[in-house]
Amino acid sequence: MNTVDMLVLYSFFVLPLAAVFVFNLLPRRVSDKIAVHFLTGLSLLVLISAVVECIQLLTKFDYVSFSLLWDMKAANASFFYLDLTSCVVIACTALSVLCAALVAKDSLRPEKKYSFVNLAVIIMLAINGMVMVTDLFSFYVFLEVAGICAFILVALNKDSQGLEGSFKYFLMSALATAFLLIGMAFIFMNTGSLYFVEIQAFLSKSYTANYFLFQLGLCFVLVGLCIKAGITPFHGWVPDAYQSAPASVSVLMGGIVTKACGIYALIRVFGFILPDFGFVTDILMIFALLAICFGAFTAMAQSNFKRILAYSSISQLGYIVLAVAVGTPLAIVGAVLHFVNHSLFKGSLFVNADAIERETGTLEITQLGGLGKQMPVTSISSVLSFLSAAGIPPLSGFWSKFLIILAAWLAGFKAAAAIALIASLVTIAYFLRLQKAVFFGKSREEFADIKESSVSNKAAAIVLSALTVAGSVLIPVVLSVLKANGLI
Amino acid sequence: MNTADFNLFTVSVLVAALTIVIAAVYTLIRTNNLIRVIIAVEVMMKAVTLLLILAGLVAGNMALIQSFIITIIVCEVAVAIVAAGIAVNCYRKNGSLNISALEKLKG
Amino acid sequence: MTGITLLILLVIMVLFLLLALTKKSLLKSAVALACASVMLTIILFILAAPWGAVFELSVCAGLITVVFISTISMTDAKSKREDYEERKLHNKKFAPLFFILAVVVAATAYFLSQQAGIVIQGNELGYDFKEVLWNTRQTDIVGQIVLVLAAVFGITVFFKEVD
Repeated sequence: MNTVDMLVLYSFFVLPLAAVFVFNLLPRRVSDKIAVHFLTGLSLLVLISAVVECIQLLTKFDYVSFSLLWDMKAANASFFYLDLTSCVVIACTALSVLCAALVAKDSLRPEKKYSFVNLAVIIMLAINGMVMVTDLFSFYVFLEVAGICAFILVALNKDSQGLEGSFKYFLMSALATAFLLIGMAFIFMNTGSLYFVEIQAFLSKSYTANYFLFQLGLCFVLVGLCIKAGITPFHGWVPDAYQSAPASVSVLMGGIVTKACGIYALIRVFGFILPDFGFVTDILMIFALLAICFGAFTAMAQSNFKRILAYSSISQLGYIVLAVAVGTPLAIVGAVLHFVNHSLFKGSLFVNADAIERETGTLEITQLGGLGKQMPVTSISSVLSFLSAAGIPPLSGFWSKFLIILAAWLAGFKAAAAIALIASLVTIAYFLRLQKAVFFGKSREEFADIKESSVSNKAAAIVLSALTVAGSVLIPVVLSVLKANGLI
Repeated sequence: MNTADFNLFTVSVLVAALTIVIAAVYTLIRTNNLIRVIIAVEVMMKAVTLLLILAGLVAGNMALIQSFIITIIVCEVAVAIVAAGIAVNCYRKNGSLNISALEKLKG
Repeated sequence: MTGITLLILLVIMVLFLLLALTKKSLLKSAVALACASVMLTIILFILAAPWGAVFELSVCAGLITVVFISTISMTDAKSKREDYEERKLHNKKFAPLFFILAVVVAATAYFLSQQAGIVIQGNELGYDFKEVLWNTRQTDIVGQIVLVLAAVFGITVFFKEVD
C-alpha cells in the first residue's frame, strides 16, 4: 500500500484518538475557546479522507485491511477491514459530526462545549471502529462505546427531559445488549467462532436440524439489533431520546447513531444471505413493514417538530430493513444508498429544527406559522429535505427508495413493495402538513422580528441540501459504475 | 467430568439462565426505582455470563470465552457507571428516584 | 461429584440474584449481587477458567458493588428503603403462575439440551489464554481503551458537584 493509502487509513482511527489526547492536554482556557473549531476541522479531515478512500475503492473495487500497531500477518491475528460499505458509513459519520459541530457552535452552552467535543470525537471513533472490524464480538465492544457516548450526549444539558430520554434509551439499550450477547453465545455453540466470514460460511451450507441453536442465536441477535436500531415493535425509546436531546446531539443521533448501531450490522452480516433463511426473512420483513406504516401514521398525529422527525426516522429505517430482508444485491445497494440519503435529509431537518428553536423558542407546530419569508434558507433546505425523504424525483431520496421498491418487486415480495409505495404517499402527507404549519401560511405577530439563523447553522443546512441535490446527479453515476462492474 | 455430570450441568445452566432473564425482565418492566433498573441490568449480565460459559464448554474453547467474559465485564462496569451518573443527576433534579416523577415526555 | 457441586452453586447463585431483585432495601440488593458474583467466581474456578474468575471477583464483586453503594449514598437516605414503591414486585396470588412458568422453563431447557444436541467437550482445545487474548483479540483491546476514555468523560459530565 502506498503512502497516501496508509495516511488515509490511519486518519480513520488514529487521528481521532490522537485528537482526543491532544485536546485534553491543552490548558483548559485554550480548549474552551477552540473547542468547536477543533471538532469542525477534525471531522472535515476525516470526511475528506473517507471520500477519497470511497472513490478509490469504487474505482479499484477491492477491499483494504490494516492493523494499528501489531503484526497483522501473524496466525489468527485480528485486523481492521475496510470495504465500500464501511467507507460510506465512515463518510456519513464524519458528515454528521461536522454538521453537529456547526450547530453546536451557537446553540450549545459554552461550559458544555468541552465535553461535547470530547464525546463527539469518541463516538466518531467508536462508529469508525464498528464498521471496520471483522467479527461480531469486537462489533459489540464498539457498539457499547457508541451507546455509552450516546447516553451521555443525550443527557448533556442535565435537564429533566434530557435525563428521562437518556434513561429510557439506556434501559432499552441494555436489554438489546443482553439479547445480542445471548444470541452470540448460541451462535458460538454451533460455529465455534464469531468472525463474520465464518458465520456467513456456516449459513451457506445447507442446514439441518442440528443447527437449531444457530438459528436460535440468529433470532436473538436480530432482536437485539432491532432494539438498537429503533424498529417497531422496539421503538419505544426513539421519540423521547430524539426530542429531549440538545439540538446538536439530535443532529448526531438522527444522522448516524441509530443507523450505524443497528442497521449496519444487519447489512454486513445478514445482507447477502437472508433469502435462504425462510422464517427469519419473514420476521424481519414483518418488522420492517410495521415500522414503515407505524412511523408514517403516528407522525401524522404529532405536534412537536422533533417528535415528527423521530417517527419519520422509524419509518425510513423500516425501508432500509425491508431492503435487507429482501436480500438481493440490488436491494443491498438500495439499502446503503438510503442509509446515506437518510443521513443527509434527516440531518438537514434537525439542523432546521435547531434554527427554529433558537429563533422562536418553541417547537410546537401549532404555535408556529409563516416563517418562510423571514427564514428563507431554513425554509428552502427544509423543503428540499422533505422532497428527498418522500422520494420525489429527481432528488437523491427518489433513487434509493425506487431501488428498494424495485428490488422488493423483482424478488417476488409484491405485497411488501405495494405497502412501501403507499407509505411513501403518507410520508408526503405528513411532511406537507409540517411544512405548511411551520413555514407557509401567514406570519404571527410575536414572530415579527425574528431573523435568519446564524452563519454556522446556515452553512450546515446549505451543505446538506447541496449534497441532497448533488446526489440526484451523482447517484446514477455510482449506479452505472456498479452495473459496469457486474454488481447489480 | 463424565458425561452424566455434563448433562446435568447443561440443563441446570439453561434453567438458571432462563429463570434469571425472565425475572430480570419482569423487574425491569415493573419497578419504579431507577437504581433497581441498574441492578436488574447487572443481573441479566450474570445470566449472559452463564450462557457464555456453557458456550465455551460446548465449543471446547475456554480461553476465547475467558477473553469475552473479561471484555464484557469491562463494558458492564462502564455502563453501570454512566447509568449511575444519570440516576444521581435525576435525583438531584427531582429529589426522588421514582421513575414516575420523570414521565413528562408523552406521545 | 463435580456435577452436584456445580448444581448447588448454581442454585445458590440464582437465589442470591432473586434476592437482589426483590429486596426492598437497595443496599441489601447490592450486597446480594456481590454474593452472586462470588458464586459465579467459584463456578468459573471449578470449570478451569481462572482468569475469568479473578476478573469477575475483583471487578463485579468489588468495583460494581462500590459503584452501587456510592450511588446509593449520594441519593437520599429515605430512598434506600423505597417507601414510595407502591406496586409490589411479587404478589402471593401469582404463585401458581410461577410454578407453571418454572415447569415450562425446565421443559424448554431439557428440550434445548437434548434435541439441539448440546454436547460438552470440556477444555479440549487447550488454547493458552494469554496467547488468545493478546495475539488474536487486539481489536477488542483497542475497543476497551476507547471505552475507558468514554467512561472517564461520562464521570466528568455527570459527577461534578455543582456548576
